[in-house]
Amino acid sequence: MPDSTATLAQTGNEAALAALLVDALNLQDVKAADITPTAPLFGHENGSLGLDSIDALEIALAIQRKYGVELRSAEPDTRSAFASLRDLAAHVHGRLDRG
Amino acid sequence: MSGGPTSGRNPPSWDSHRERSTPVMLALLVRLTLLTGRPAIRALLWPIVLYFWLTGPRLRAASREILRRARGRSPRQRDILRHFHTFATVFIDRVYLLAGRTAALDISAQVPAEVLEAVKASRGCLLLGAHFGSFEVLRIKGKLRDAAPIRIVLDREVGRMAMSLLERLDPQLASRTIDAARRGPDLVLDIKQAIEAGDLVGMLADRARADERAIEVDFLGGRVRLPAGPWLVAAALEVPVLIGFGVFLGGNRYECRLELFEARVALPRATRAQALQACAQRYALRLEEQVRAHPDNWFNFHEYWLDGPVAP
Repeated sequence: MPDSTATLAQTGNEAALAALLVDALNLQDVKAADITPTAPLFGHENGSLGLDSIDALEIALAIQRKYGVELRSAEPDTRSAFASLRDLAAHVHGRLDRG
Repeated sequence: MSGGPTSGRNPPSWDSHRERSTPVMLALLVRLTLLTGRPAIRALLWPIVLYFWLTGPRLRAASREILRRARGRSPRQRDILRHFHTFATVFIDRVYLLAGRTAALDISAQVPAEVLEAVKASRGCLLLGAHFGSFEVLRIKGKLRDAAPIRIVLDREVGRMAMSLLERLDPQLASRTIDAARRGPDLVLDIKQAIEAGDLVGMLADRARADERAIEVDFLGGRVRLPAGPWLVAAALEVPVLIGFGVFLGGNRYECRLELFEARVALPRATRAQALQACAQRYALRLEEQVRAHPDNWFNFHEYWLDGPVAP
């Protein structure tokens, strides 16, 4: 089924960001390539990566260092950016494209 | 806000307790405090204290356990009453301090030079307090205000009383509080932004919510959960950690004690868990020394120890 493959496969940007997450959070039992792009990053529901707010801080710092993009709390799209790997990659690259 | 699931061993989380006073009582108390002189107010506090003593068996039990653990012997009823009265005194002094009426109080300060040097040398800084004595005394007498603007992390839901007091008496400080009631990335990103702006961020480090990362440490002969957040945040943002104790010494005397706890919290990957544990345990020991010396100043009036009350 091409549709579900397209949903589950990481794009190049997502793969790079997944590697950054795994490294920044020192996730021992998660492989970057295994992170489903649409899976929730936070929370306790099934399929979620189960990250918490401290992880969010580490991610924000790692993204700032690597991409020079700052995730700010006051901005409304920051919360949605943290929803999944796909949303986060889209947010970061959206910001990079806008300069 | 009943928090996440709690395991059988944990005492009921502190955030499940509702604060008992109402906004009307608060408004009345603030007005009365500011109109009346401090000695008269302190006398007036006794009937209020007696009311809480009579109607709050859980508060009495919590006080008894604190005093017993800190002093190593069973407290008398009058010790418990004095504990409640100290809490009430520190509360009304908070009103005076927030309203800028510091003349009624005699506040000494122990602030080593390295504290101010660390604040000035760093971009941003964490100040950890506890539900012990008066945080206001630290803020006002710590000479920190000259070194860096301060922002307080406060759960606006659980600390509704504290928040409405702030809004009433120091709206500027109130507007700059960072709301800890929010879950998810917003809270930590707010702290990050404050630190990056060079602010001093004050937070209480003696209570862990049921749903946050916590570390179990030894404290006054038992085990307690302390939040891991402050140490993780300090390490990630590479800022110094100050700890402070605004001790009420009786009468109208306070002492502001500030210490540079850690110039940099280092949590190396390979030994992260152990380093975190050591940090929290070292903080618990400093806290324990202060509580042993001034048990009346400890204001965690709920089941605090994981292993329950000690035998009488």
